[in-house]
Amino acid sequence: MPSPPRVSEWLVTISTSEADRPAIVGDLLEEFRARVTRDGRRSARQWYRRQVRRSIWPNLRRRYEQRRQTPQGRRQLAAARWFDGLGPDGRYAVRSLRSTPTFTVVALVVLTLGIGATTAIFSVVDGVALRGLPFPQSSRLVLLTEPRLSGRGGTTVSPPDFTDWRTAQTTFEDLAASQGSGNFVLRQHDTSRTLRAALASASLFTVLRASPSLGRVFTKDDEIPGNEHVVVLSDAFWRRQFGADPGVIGRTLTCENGDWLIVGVMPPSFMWPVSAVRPMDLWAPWAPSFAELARGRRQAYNLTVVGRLKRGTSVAQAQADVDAITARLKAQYPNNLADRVGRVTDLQDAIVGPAKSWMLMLLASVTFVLLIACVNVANLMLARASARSRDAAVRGALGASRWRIVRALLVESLILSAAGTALGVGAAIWCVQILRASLPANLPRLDEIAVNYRVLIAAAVAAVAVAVGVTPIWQTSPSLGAALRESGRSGGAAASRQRTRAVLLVAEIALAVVLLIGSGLFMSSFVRLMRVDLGFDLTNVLSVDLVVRKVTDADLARTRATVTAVTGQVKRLPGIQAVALAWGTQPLISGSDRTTVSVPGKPPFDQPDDWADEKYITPDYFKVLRVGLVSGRVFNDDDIAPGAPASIILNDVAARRYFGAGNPIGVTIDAHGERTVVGVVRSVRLQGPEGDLRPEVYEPLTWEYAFGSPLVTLIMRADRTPASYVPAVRAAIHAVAPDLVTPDPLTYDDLFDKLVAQRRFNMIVLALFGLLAIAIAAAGIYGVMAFVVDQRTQEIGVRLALGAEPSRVLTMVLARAAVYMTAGLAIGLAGGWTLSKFVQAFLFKMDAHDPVVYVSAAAVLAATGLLAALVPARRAARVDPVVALRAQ
Amino acid sequence: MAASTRDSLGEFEQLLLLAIVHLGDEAYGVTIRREIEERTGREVAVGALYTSLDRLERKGFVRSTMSDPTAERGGRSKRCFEIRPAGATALRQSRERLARMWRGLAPDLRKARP
Repeated sequence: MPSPPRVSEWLVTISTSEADRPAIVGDLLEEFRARVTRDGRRSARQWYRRQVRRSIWPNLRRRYEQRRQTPQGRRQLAAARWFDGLGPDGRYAVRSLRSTPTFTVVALVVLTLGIGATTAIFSVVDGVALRGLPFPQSSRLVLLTEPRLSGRGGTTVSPPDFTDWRTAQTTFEDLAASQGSGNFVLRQHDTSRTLRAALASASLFTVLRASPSLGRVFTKDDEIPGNEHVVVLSDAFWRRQFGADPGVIGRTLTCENGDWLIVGVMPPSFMWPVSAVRPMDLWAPWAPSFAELARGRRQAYNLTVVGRLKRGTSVAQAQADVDAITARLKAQYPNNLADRVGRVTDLQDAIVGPAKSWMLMLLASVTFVLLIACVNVANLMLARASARSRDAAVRGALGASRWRIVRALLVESLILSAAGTALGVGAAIWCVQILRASLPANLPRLDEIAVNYRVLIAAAVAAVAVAVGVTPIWQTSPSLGAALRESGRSGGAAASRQRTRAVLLVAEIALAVVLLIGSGLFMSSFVRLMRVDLGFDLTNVLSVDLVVRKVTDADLARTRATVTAVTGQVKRLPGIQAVALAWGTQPLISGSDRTTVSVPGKPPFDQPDDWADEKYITPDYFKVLRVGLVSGRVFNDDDIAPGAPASIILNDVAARRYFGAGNPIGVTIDAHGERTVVGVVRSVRLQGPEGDLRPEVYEPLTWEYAFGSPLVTLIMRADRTPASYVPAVRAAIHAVAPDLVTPDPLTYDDLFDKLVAQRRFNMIVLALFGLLAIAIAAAGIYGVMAFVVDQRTQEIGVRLALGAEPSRVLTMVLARAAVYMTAGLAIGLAGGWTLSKFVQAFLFKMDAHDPVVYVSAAAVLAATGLLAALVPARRAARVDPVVALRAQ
Repeated sequence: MAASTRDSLGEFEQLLLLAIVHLGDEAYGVTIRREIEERTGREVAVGALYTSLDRLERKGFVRSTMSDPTAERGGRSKRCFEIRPAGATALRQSRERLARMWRGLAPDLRKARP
């Protein structure tokens, strides 16, 4: 028998008294069951919910009345008397908020902006850095790596080291390895797509404690070479490719690398690797051959290794374990492991560690926005409190307790902050969409960013905190005498309120200055980044990877013919100015192929920093990228002809490093074989604006090698926006070589944008915060000055009647504002100076104490503040003495 | 004055009392609600039902007793209702008052021919 909706049943149970419960809950259940038989489950559940919704209030009332009948109940209710009359308080608050629409709208806008910004940023920070990893008992998960002794590189482990660690370790439940694979190419109709696949040891699923939602995961048997043609699909891929068909288990997925039996589907929450830019489509067993595990492969660092610590084992103990094993391995294979160490890191730290400080910086900045918003609203509330002090005093005189009076104010703030939070959360949901799109795509766990219940709880807590914080509790006094004195406008309470408002205003200005300094620093840093000379011209460059798989000596000639045909076809496209092929380190893409260089008569350059980034190119490469020639010549068609004398081009960093002041042209050096230097070109920042200028060597692409990497890249310069050439280029390639697998062409502009995405994001976010800060601070200054003028209308009237110049009145008001602003600016500048050291790490080659930024921040705020004060000041100057005096 | 307030019944109270009379020994929450729903097409919330029945009981118009628990109600007891003489009197008076007010009016609210 189906049961009624759980939540509704619970609601009706708690809302009824014990005496009523059997009759009411029983009636509902009996009727529900009858209705299930008569109308079906769905309609019965609907009926149940409707009944509960309409019954809750009568139930609660009856419960309350029944309580009042017993002495014990009466005692309990007496405690609840604190909340007596809450309804009228609420209605009164709403009425009074509606009667002052300007105040309400300004307060709501400020709160919405503050809470919206905070909630949105908190969602990002929570998704990226705060939330635990989506695996059970994830605190026991660690990442094992093999970095160099120098600390550089190495997030990966070589297969033989992994197997040795795995067999010898004593501190882990188990270790698991995985590596990405680009070999799963799915061909559908005319297009082929490289699936995002990872090869993983069967232990991955036990280590991560992940079980499939359908079918099974791999077992040890699947790891035996020959048995490994099974795959486990991700939930997303299963839905996309198979329409969430539960009968998918046992079917075959045909890729270019063979047929794969689908054995399982993982739940949507499962992801591995966690920091993958885009989630995986499938996992296949990692089945290393003996060759891969052979000694010689100890330097092929290609596995991501994760381990689960035994219960009660610390990371330090595991580290000691790994150290001991690695020491033994080092003794055994001194050539291979000499400069490597095994390292154990908490998995969460390893994944989000680099982003964590950045996330906390964002959170700290947005806290400032929220603080400014709160200070502003507190200030507005204070203005109201003075307007309402007589009302409070009358209530006090009529017997209201201090609590009742304060509560009325609290209710009002709560209503205001609840409304602001609701609007803010709405704004945040919208903002998060935008933020997600503008965050760098390589940010770990980008997919997990969302406004979820944790964020909502945080927002609710913020709302209550804001409400309590902005309520001028200490400013309410139920004393009738004080209020009556105040009506003479010289009372102590009014003066103290005035002082509080001034302090709040100064605080607000100071906070705004700090934020403005932050925006200034990030904007200036970003401008510097954009001004870096990369050494090449990246506008209008398009690049396509041509995936040349299974290149053996036999298909080399065929591949060469295909690629040459593709190049020719693309070159003929109208609007394409130059085309070149390149193999090796590509600009703006991380990863590099390097070679050692030796120059006759010089000691060998064998330090890793002396190695040269190496690439094989066709002659037009420098024309496509517009890299300048320093001396000698660039390659010509003869250099790439088979059998041509081996030549090489250096960049100027390499020339200086290897030859000092000497002339390298004509010298024969050894870089992957003996080659004669024919030219020197300008250096290029391969890794983008933040990269170093490194030694580079260029060699002619002669197709004499079987390529170690399966990619050769076609780069081309178009005469305008390269993105518009993507379809034509793709069609051209497909026309000549329908078999060639080509991922989407990329523009260098896009690659560049990705490289600077984090800094751009910081700049935009901080600039927006700065803007918010200015706007809110201006509103605050306006509010306070308008109030001051209002309070002093009578006095100003007297002055004007006695012959004061209106301009003197104007100056008087502005001078008052200037005093507040000077105080705020001084505190803010000092605060910014102190706090800016925390953002130094996020700035690109600039000093966090750059005086230009501080001066501009102060100037912008001072100008805005004076403008905001000018409006009430002019009103003061235009006061009509007659009206002002009669008003009393 | 007090008596007349006590005796006058609201429309919903009349519906409840009439349903109890119709049902006789079988009158409890579920059946009363069904009776009203079937005869008038008006859906009654169970919470509102008991609020009014409590009021009628306080006025002495009905009496309620708890029955033994039954399985189809998840082991909960029924609260059964029966009408008391005062309730019957009040019901008759209400009918009488209404009938007097309707006298001389046709159902479509036109003046009936004498």
